[in-house]
Amino acid sequence: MGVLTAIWLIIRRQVSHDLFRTVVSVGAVASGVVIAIAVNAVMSGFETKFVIRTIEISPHVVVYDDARGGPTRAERWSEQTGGIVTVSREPAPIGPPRINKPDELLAALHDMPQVEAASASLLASAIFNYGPREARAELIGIRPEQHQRVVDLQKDMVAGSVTDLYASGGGVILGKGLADSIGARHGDYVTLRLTQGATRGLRVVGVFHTGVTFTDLRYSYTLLSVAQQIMDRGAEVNRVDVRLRDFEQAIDVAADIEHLTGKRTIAWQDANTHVISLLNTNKMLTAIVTVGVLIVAAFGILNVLMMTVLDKLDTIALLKSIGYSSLEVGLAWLGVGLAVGLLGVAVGCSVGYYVVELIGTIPIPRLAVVDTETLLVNNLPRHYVLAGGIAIGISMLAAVLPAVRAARLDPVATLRGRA
Amino acid sequence: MSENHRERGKPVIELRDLQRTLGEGETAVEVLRGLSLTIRQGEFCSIVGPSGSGKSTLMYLLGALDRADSGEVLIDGQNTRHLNDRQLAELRNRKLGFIFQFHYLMPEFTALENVMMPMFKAGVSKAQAMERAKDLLSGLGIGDKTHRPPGKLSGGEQQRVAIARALANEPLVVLGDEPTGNLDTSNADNVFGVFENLIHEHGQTIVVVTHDLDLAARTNRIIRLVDGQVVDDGPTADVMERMQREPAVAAAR
Repeated sequence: MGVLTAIWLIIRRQVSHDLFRTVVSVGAVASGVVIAIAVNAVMSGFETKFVIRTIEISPHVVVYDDARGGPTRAERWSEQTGGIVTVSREPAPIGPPRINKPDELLAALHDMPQVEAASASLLASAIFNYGPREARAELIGIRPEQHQRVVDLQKDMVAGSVTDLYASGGGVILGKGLADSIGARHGDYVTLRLTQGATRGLRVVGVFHTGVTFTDLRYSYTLLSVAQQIMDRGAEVNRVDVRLRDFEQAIDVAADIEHLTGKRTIAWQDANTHVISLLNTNKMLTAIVTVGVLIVAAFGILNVLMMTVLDKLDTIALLKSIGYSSLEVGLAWLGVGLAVGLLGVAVGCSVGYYVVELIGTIPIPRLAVVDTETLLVNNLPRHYVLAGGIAIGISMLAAVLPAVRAARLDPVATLRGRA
Repeated sequence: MSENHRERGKPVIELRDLQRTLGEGETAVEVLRGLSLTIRQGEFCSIVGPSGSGKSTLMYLLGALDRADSGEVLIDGQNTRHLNDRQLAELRNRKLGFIFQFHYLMPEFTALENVMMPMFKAGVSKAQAMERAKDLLSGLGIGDKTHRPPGKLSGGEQQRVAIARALANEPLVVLGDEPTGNLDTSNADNVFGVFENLIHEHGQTIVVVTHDLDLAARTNRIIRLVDGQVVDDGPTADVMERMQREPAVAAAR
C-alpha cells in the first residue's frame, strides 16, 4: 500500500513539476483525440444519415418478377468457344416471368415471422414532360395504404397527400428534385411517356422530399391500377416491397424469400452496394486516420517522457538508493505515461465535443447522395470511448520505453557522473 | 518502526576480499584489490584517501548499490551476492540510509515528502510517515520548512533534510559519500555535529567518505585507502598520528 502511495506521489509530482512539458505531451494526446473524434463523427454522420434515410424511404427487401439465373460470363465463353471450354452448374430455377398472383405472394410473405409488411407494386421507366422540359424517372404504381405500411411516404410529403392519388383518379406524386427539374408544382398537369411508347397526362397531386437526392430526383408514384392500365399489364405487378421487423436481417431474409419463391430478391444493402462499399472504405480510412493520428501523438509522449527520464536521472538514482526496486521505478514512469494519456483524453474529449458541434454548422455544397446544407456529424459516445481507449493504450505503449529505461538505470553510473 | 536489532559491537557490514574493476579492455581500472574490513554497530567511521583510491566505489558496494566482481559483502549477515534486485532494494530501504554530496534531495518533492518516501516503501502509513518526518525535521532544526521544495532551502538545510531521509527507517548504518563536500565550513561543522549527536544519543552506526582530514578527525575510526587497498585502519588518534609522520600528508594539512 505504501509503495502505491509513493508511486502515486511520484506520478503527481512528475506531472506537475514541469508544467510546460506536461502541457506539450497532454496537448499531443488531446489533439489526437480531438481529430479522431471529429473524423469519426463526420464519417458516421454521413453513414447514419444515409442508412437511416435509406431504411425509412426504401423497402428493406424487394422481390422482383424475374428469376435469378441466365448464362454467366463463363457459360457464354463456353458457347462462344463451341464447347471447347465446358462449364457446368446447377440449372437455374425456372420461374414465371410475371408476378401474376401478387396477393398469394403477399399472403405467403406475411406468414414469415420476420416480415412486418409487404406491398405489391408495378415499376416502369418513364419520361415526364412539363412544357419544354423533360426528365427521366421511375414510375411506381402502388396501393397507397399497403405501400404506406412498408414505406412511410406520407411523412416526407411536402405538398398534398399520398391518399390524394385516389381523389384524382389519374394523379401522380413526384419527388421534389424531379418536380423542380421540370418546373412542375402541386396541381400542375404533366405528361408521362413510358419507354414502351404509352403516353398519358397526370395531375401532380403531391410532392415528397426525402433528403436522399437520388430518390427525390428519380421516383414518382401513381395508383397501382393506373400504372397497370398505362402499362397494359392487367392485374400483374413486377415487384413486391417488403418491410422487416429488423432491417439488419435483410440479407438473410432476402435469401429465404428467394429460396421460397424462386424470384430474384434484393436486400437494401445489395441495392445500395456502391454506397455501402464506399461507407466500408470510409470506415477503414477512419480507422487508419484514428490510429495514425494517435500514433503520432504517442511519439510526442514518447519524446517527452524520454526527456523526462534523462532529466530525472538524479531522482531515479535517489529512488533506487532509498530502496525502490527497478520494477517500482518502471511502474512509476509507466504511471506518468498513463496520467498524461488520461489527461490528454479528458481534454481531448471535452474539446472534441465542441469541435464536432462546430463542424456540424459548416456549410457544404449539395451532396450527390444525401440532401444536406451543412456537414453531417454524429456526436456519439462510442467515438469518445474508441478514441479515448486507443489514446490511453497508445500512451501506455509510448511510456514503456522510457519506463524500461528508468527501470534499467544504474544508479551508480549517475552518482559517479556527479561525484 | 525499525525491525533492526542494535547490539553494540556486532558486525553490521563485512567485506571479504573485494575486487572491483571499472571499465573494459584497455581502459579497465582495478579500483578495489582484495579489500576486507568489518564495520561494527555503533562505530563512527571515516574512509579517507586520495582521489582515485576507491573510496566512492567502496561506498557503493557498502550500500548494496553496486556489485563486486569477486569477494563478498555481508550486510547484517546477508550476503548481497545472493540477493536479486528486489531483495537488494528491500535491504537498502530497511538497513541503510544514504547521504550524498550533490544528490541531496528530489527536487519535485517537498522536504517533508523527501523524508517520507523511504517510509512509504517500508509500508508505513501516510499519517505515521508524516508524523515521523516532521519529528525528524524538527529535531534537525528545520521543522518550520517542511513544505518547502529543496530549491527554497539553503545547502545546509538541504543536507539536513537528506540526513532526516537517511534516518527515516531507523537504518542500521548511515552511509555518507562526502556528505559535507559541498558545504561551507560552518554548515559542514553543523552536519558533523548532527552525526556526533546521533552516535552519542542513539548509538547510530555512521560511515562517511571524506577528503577533509579535520572532519575525519572527529570520527572514532579512520580507514585509509590507497590504490584500492586498506593501508591503515584503526582508532582515529592512532591513524592520525601515523599519518602525521608521512610528509605528504602533513604538508597537505
